[in-house]
Amino acid sequence: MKSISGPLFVLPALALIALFVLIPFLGVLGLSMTNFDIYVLASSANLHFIGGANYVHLFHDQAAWQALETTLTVVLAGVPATLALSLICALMIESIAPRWRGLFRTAFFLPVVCSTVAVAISWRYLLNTHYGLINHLLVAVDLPALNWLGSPTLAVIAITVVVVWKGFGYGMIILAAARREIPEELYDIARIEGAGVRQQLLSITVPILAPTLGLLALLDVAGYWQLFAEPYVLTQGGPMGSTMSLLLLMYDRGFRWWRWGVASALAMILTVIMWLFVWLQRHTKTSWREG
Amino acid sequence: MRLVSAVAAGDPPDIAQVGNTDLATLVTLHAVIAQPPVAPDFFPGALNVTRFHGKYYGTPWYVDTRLLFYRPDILRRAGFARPARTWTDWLKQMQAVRRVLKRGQYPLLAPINEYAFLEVLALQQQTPVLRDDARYGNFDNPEFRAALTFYKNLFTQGLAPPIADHQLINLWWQMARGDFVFYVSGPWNIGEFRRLLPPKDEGLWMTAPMPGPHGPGASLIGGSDFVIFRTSTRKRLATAFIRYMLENRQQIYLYKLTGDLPARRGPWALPPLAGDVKLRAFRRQLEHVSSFEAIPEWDEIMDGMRRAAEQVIIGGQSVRAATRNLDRKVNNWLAARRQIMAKDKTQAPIRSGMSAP
Repeated sequence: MKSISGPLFVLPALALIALFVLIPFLGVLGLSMTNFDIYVLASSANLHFIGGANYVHLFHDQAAWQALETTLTVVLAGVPATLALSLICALMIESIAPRWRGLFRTAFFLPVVCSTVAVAISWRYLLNTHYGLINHLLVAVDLPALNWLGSPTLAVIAITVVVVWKGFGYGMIILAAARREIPEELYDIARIEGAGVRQQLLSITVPILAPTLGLLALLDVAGYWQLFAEPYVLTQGGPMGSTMSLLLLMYDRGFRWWRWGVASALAMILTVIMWLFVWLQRHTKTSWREG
Repeated sequence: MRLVSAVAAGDPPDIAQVGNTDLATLVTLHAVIAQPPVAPDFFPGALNVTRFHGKYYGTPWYVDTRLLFYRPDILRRAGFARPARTWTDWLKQMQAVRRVLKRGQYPLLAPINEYAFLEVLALQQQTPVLRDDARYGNFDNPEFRAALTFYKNLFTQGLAPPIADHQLINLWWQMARGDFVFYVSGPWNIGEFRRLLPPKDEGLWMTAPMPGPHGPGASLIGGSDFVIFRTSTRKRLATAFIRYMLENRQQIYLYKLTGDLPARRGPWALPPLAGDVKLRAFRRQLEHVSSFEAIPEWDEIMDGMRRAAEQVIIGGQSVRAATRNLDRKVNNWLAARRQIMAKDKTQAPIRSGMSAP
């Protein structure tokens, strides 16, 4: 009896995962190998199995490569920036007088709980070329006003800034909690041994927080690959497709142009990329620990 | 579109209100039934877009077209009594207007993420942008290239700022300030201008029909049509409802509530539409509207056209290269349509009434 009670307990969870993850996943995989579009919806006789044709099509599609590049840029620039900002703010909050902690913690965490769309619209005003606060500040210190959302390069930077600003508070809360778990004795000993602030940070704080940082990196990578709402509201993928993320492209193909086959292939590619990144991350983390 | 999902799920409503491209999509899906026109006085352009394979699949409910909103006072200051009727004169007007503007102000607002204005310019030409029953792209033709060149010059000559509409803060307020003198837009903006500007500013803006390449130009026809779904079990009730909604009283009530323009000529002869000086340009333009083929791929093609224009304006690509590229993409998007039509023509919607009255 004891031997089957374990599997029995996890069975409901597994059934739910199968129903809501595994089956849809296989469905999308199957769909990605068909020509499913508006004409197939009209008459199922038009449905054909086309193997990897959608993938080949995407391989030759410049827009798909550009979306990949944009999303990768946001991931590669955004994840380290988020982690660094989370860590700095967490350590700052833990080192200031307790009476101020609540204020800063709330201020930094507020963007996380705000609606992404509302936040993005506010940023749209801040980033406006003629009337935006950011350009006013730039001009005030004798710098040129910038066309933030109108230039392909600047728009990607602006999106990354918004994403990081929106996300770092979450990591900050987690890291602050983890920092509080580190016994103060360790720092006392370090100080007695003559370690400076830098050495304390690099030899005590960061190594102990490393597993937490690793977890946050994993969550951020997974989240940033799914970049959607910020470019959707701020730029609609423009100018010149420079802020079109993979998910936004998938939405366009699938839900605006009725090309579900191609959109499913894009979804599969995104899934594989994320798997690859997570695998890479776990791999490097282990080797770093061993070394 | 939720209606496509509803059709896919086998549970559509009895009646729906849809736009032109969506209508083509629903006709492709065999989801809606043909219905003869319920009144004799629809604007022909509006009725025409609901016609596929010689039958009408929708009843126009309200109509929409694009024309000029402009600042009469600034135009007068630049020495013109009224907006130009041809592209060449319009270009000259804008160049003259620029001289009386301050820095940071522009003669024209044409958001580069909206395709309607460029669609109108393309529509004013004789050569359609798709060929062979909308089986292939035909953007790389001299006339469309002329339209795109005209459009490009507006930006490269600094007559319009290369910005997207989401980079505007408050269009109406900016227009009243004189940030823009011309703006190509639709009827809803009459209501918006009145709602968002104080009554004393009513004289600051006016409407005029679209200029064309060689004289008063055509504009596009948009708006909304009623469709009845094939699966409906209450088709007679549905028809009666549509008939009711198109009576003068209901059409005028809709206009009062939303600013949507009646699809029939009848209500236009009655107040408040008849007395409104700013609606006159719309009344005239509505007699002079047309549209390209309505096919399910149309929105994607227009989005592609807009992106091609962006490549020219921001990316510095040549007009020739952009139109060739666009045709290549469009041919790709139409591949499924070509296959279907090769098998069975009735499966893909073709608007038969393009040149018919």
